Amino acid sequence: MSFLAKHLLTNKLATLVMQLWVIFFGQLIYQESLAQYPEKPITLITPFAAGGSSDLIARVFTAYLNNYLAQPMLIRLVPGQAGQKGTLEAIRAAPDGYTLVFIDNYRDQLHQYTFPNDFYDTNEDLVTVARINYGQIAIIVRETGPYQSWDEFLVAARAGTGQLKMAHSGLWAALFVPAWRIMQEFDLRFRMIPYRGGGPAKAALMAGDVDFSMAFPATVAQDVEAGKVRILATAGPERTIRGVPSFAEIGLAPGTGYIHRIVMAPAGIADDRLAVLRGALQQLQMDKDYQAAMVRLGENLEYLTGPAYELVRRQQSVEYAELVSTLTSRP
Amino acid sequence: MAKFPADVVFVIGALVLAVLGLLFGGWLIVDPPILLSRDILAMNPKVFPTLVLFFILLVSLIFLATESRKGSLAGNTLKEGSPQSSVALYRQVGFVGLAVGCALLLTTLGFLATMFLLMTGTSLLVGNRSSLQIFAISLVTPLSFYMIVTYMLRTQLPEADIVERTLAMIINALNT
Amino acid sequence: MFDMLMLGLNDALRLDTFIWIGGGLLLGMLVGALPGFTTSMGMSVLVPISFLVGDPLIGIPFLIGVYKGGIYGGSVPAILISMPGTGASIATVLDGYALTKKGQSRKALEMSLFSSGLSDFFSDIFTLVMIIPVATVVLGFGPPEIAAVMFLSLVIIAVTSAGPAVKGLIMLGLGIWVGFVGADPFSAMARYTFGTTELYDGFHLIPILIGLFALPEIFNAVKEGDTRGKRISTFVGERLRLQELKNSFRTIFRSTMIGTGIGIVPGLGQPIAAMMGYIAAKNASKYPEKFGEGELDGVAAAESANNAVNGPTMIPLLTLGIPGDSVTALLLGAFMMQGLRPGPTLLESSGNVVFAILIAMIFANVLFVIIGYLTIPLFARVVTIKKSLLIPVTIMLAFAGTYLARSNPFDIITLISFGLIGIAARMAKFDVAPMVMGFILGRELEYAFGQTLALAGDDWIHFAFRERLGMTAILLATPLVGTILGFRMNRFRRRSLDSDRK
Repeated sequence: MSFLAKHLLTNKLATLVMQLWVIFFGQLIYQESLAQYPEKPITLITPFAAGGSSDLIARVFTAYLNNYLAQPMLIRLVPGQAGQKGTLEAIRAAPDGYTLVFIDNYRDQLHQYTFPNDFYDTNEDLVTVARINYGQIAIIVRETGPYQSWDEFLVAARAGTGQLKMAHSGLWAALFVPAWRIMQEFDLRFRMIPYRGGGPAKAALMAGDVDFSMAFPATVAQDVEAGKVRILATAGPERTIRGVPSFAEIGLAPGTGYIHRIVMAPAGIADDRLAVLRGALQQLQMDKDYQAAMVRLGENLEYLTGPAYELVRRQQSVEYAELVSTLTSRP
Repeated sequence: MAKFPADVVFVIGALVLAVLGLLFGGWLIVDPPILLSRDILAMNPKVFPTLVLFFILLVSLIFLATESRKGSLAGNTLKEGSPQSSVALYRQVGFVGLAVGCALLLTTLGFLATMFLLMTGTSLLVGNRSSLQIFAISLVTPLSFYMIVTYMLRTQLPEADIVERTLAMIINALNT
Repeated sequence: MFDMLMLGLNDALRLDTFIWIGGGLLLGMLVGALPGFTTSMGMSVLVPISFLVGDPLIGIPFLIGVYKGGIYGGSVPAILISMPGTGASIATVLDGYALTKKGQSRKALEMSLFSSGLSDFFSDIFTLVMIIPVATVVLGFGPPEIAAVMFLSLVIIAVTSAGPAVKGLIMLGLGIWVGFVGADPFSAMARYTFGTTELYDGFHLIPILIGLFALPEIFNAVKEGDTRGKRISTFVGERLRLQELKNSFRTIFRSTMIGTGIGIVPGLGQPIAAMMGYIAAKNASKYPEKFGEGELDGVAAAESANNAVNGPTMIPLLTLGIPGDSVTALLLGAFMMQGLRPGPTLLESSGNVVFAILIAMIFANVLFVIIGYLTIPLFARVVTIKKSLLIPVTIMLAFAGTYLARSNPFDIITLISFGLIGIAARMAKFDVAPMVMGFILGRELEYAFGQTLALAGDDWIHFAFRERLGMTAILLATPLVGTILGFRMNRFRRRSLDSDRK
């Protein structure tokens, strides 16, 4: 083929390719302007270990949320010390509504004091989409142990013949914080033994390595039934188990021992997209299958809307600031 | 200058690491912001690293002492096989550069583009000269992997927005 | 109990259960063969499927199938391209890849499959029969005992590694130190992070594994330059002969016992089981110096030990509701989503379901071997692909697998760095296995050690000699065991050097 012919042909081909390219991408851009959110899957960063209660709850609600959102919400587990890695990732992502994070109130409001970092401030960088539910912690001891009631336990703790040992699931996490509150309120000192989660903490209690621990009642229901574990008190203003006092009754501040499970979005997310997410989660609450699944997991359905939870956040910020200030004043 | 055997160099490296770690431990390990007593915080973050670094220091010194007693510190007592050509060295350095470059560009360019670059570069470095083979493998393999991971295993890989949308469009079109 | 067992047997023998187990096994093998995509990641993706099925006798065995398949699946890239798919296949790489280079990849894969299936079968039977007595033993293992066992394991690994014990100990120390980079496990304070967020989460096992084991092979290919027409091996090799399998029975039996024992203790896991099984086989062998150069027994030892862990890890989960690792944690969740609550009353209230699941697990091993056997010819073919094509694919898998592990692009820099360390270690004739094990165990050891300190409080003597005699006994035995094994290995090393010289 002559040089000229080859050149012309190549030119024509190039022109054709360019035209196709323009049409194709033009279409995409046009479609983008008409696009409805969400038009690709949404990532829910879950900064928790695989298989934990938060992971499971996340999997349950995202599975049913598919029915109320145009695109699936996919979980991405990003466990990392005290949840900071996953939270940071979510905050650094573009606030376009395609990256969300699933955390709890301790990580949201307490850790700014206990694990201060230069990289983010949850108050400024995250906005609540909704609270999925909350959990209420309980104080547990061995059934065969020396304490049959909270009063007996308190007496023993005050006796001072040796510190009582408590198994917890990590510094400033769900089991540690209520115990810390108890130490404040009753002027006690416990020896805090860390474990990798609620399960191992419970095992330590049953093995007799520690004197008491904490747990969500759903996770120890079987052990209580089997006569292995006794619940001494449960979080909340009222009794949730017959014969067992509530935290309010024994003199602890309201809100002690609550874990709030919240879906959050990076601040700066467009209002209409936030509204779509909130709307979908609201609709989910009416879903019978979702309700049944949560009940099977032993969880409640105490949903709270984003704006309502924002008020709770502010309250917690004050509470936790107070809690931490006691640390520096302790000898 | 006598060349040290490779294992001695390696151990000297470990020794230097241990010494630096012990000397600068105070700066390199952050103290908890809130002072917690021993009954609250199980173990100070500095304890175990210090133990281990001392251990490395000790064992490295033992190794160097035994090697010097054997007289194998000086001189090249370990044959490393046939000497490398400088071209081979450039290839390896080039590969490291390519790998590092792709690592840094992964989130900017996205998975498919970066893997295409990486695989094309690697193919050339290992001697493949067939453009068709290189092109095919560098395009098809990452794409298949991406599809399997994203759509079947529902796990995210970093990808440029426009590519993600295009693929989502294609998948939707195929589904309907 | 016996009637529950019978009911369970009746419930287990269902066609749909086995179809789903088969599906789970196959998916698990494929997912396990994908480097970076750990078994627990694969299972967590598939949990919704198990949940949607709605029947615990299908959903749970399906996930267990994925688990079993995944542990075996990790050995496939380990054997074929020297890329351990999971921590469980570290010990498999040592002899598996060497066998592939000798043209015996098919044998290696088949040995891996059969030894995995056999050991899993026996440890599952053990689980079924001993579930109740073992539950009481489990609680006796607290942090002090676990710390002592880990310390003993690390010492054993270091002194029995390829090369002089001193080198092994240095690599061990370095591996443990690498585990310190990041947040401290108790107070989440940054260690050796130089203020960066990337290092705050520490290093992940997968880039280290792939970097140390697979990248040097890729570098070698780049060094060679022209690999057109070169393959890892020109043929897949012949099948495993029955006699060869029989020769390894003793090893498989020993490894099964080791794996079962390690599986009972929550928190130890497959990597330790695999290494201990491997080392025990090496120590018991007449020619330990051959281990690492393509010894079938090495593959058998590693794979049977790591699969033997699967069954017993379920015991603390089923009887006490305590998951020992991320996989059993997922299974716990899956159980709960099916309306079953693992714990002390599970056996009484739903004993037939539990026994049905355990029995299904036992029969699953037969399916496991069949399905695995069918996939082997497909996998084995990989080694006959031209290096000029295979190497680029390998590097892509290395990168992608590394990223998949935890979606952190910095991990790829880790991958490359450890690749360079792997090359340096090879040149200096240092075994990288102690470094990897140090990394895996070091963090756990630190945590267990810290817990022990907290439990002991101020009265050390009372704690060590009254409360935790087990821990003290193991600690006192450690230097003794280490010295004996060290001398034995030295003797064999000298013998092999002498025979080389002759």
